[in-house]
Amino acid sequence: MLFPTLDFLIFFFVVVALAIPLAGYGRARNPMLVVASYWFYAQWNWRFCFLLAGSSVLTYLGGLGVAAMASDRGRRAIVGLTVTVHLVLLAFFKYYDFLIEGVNRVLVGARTGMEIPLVEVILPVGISFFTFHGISYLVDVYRGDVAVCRRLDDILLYLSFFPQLVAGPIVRSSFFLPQLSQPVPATVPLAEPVLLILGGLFKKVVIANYIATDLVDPVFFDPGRYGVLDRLLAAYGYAVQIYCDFSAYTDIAIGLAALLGYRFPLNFDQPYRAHSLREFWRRWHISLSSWLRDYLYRPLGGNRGGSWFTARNLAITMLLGGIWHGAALKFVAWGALHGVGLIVERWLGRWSDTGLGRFTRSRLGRVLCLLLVFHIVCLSWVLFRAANFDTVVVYLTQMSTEDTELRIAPLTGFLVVFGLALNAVPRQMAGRLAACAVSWPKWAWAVLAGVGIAAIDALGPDGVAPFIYFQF
Amino acid sequence: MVNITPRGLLAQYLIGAAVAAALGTVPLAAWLDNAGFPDLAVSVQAAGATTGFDRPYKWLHEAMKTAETAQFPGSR
Repeated sequence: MLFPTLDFLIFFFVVVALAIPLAGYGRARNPMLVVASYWFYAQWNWRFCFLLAGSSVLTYLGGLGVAAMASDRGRRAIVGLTVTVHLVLLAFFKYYDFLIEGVNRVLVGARTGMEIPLVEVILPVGISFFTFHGISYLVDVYRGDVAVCRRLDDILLYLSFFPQLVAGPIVRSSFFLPQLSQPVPATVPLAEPVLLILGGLFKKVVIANYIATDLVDPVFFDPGRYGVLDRLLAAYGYAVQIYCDFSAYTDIAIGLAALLGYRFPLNFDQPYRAHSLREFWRRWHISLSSWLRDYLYRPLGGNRGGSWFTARNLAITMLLGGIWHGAALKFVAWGALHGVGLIVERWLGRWSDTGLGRFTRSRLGRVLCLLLVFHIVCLSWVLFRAANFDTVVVYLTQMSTEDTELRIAPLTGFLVVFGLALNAVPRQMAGRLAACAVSWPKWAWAVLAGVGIAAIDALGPDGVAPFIYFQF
Repeated sequence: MVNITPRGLLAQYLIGAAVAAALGTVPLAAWLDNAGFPDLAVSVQAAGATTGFDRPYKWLHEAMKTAETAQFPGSR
């Protein structure tokens, strides 16, 4: 069930309606939200509800086990075991077929006459996100950053809460679990969530969908047929598409959670206005990049052991971040490009007090840095979007052809520019707009939402494409 | 900050849904048809046409389709 559908509109109405009579009964709302979240998840494949429940019970028991252990060795053993089980499950669903294909290639090469049959494992939607939730909770309990949760329904809801279940944001347990133990708020914000949801729907249904169907999909399907300008525009287009698609999902998730009385952290902060790759990762998918920082980069040693050690840790973190997206050379190259970029940036930081450093802080230098970072990111998106590495080679090596005729529609070009311009909109736009309209009667917000939803549906192409990050 | 009680939210939700349904009779009819209610779909479509509420939707949809098929001068 996708957010921009009538089915979801009806589902959310039922959730809001059921939440009202339960509001006065403390935590009674939480089990209802668990049931609603599992029902939401079952719309993809009900069998995976058992996987989600198993992952939640593992997390719950792991947390209790860590808290019960007196010795640090015992606590470490339990957290190590439970995190390993989480990772094995994730690896099985994401990489089983890839590994078996590799093993079979070795077996065929060695002429053993044996082959392991392929199973064609279906990837459960959102498995990465609920696995990351589980791991962060277990590690946080071990580190003492969060109190152990003794209520199974809270952990079930923490891992399955439907707004963030399938594509994030990754909400830390220290941020979310305390909200579950507080009384249900008597009132919830209306204006900001409505604006966030409408903005998210527009970004997904209109901008991302048109750019995908009219520009990115055809050009990336057969890049050799298109000229240099079309391919360049498709690279910019994919940068806008993935931003509008993914940030739309998290905007809607944040808005829906707010209407139910919960707060989610910011996940995107105008990433294409970054002046360095380091800044880009502080603005792009913030909940994942901070997760990788806190649960991978820092445990590896972070930047505490000299420049080579730091470079190694950055490379490992970004390579694993790339491989997490899928077992393919293009994702390894994507991670490697960002890793190398971050390492080079740190290395260049040594010259911050020289003329080069002063130039990068000047107005012209900042504009050039912004353009350079944006184009490095676009190059990485070409690696990310292409069907395979061969397509990447065709896409990039034929950039110098003389065919410069533009085949794309002006509308698509306009949407690419519009999507990029969203990165220049002043921060907290929704908050300011909401503040301007604070005197509006509440029904005016309802009418705005109704007109907005109908208009966005009319403006969008036919059909609803799934969100890009559902596949991860 | 505009705040609302859960009960108020439900009421506003109904108002918003009613507005969206009135203006979106075209997608609503398609959804009903797909959901196995063809007679209801025909009624909804007829209501939209009779009242004229379906005109803004159709106009926006057509305008976007026209814009989608437009090409730069000289392009193939």
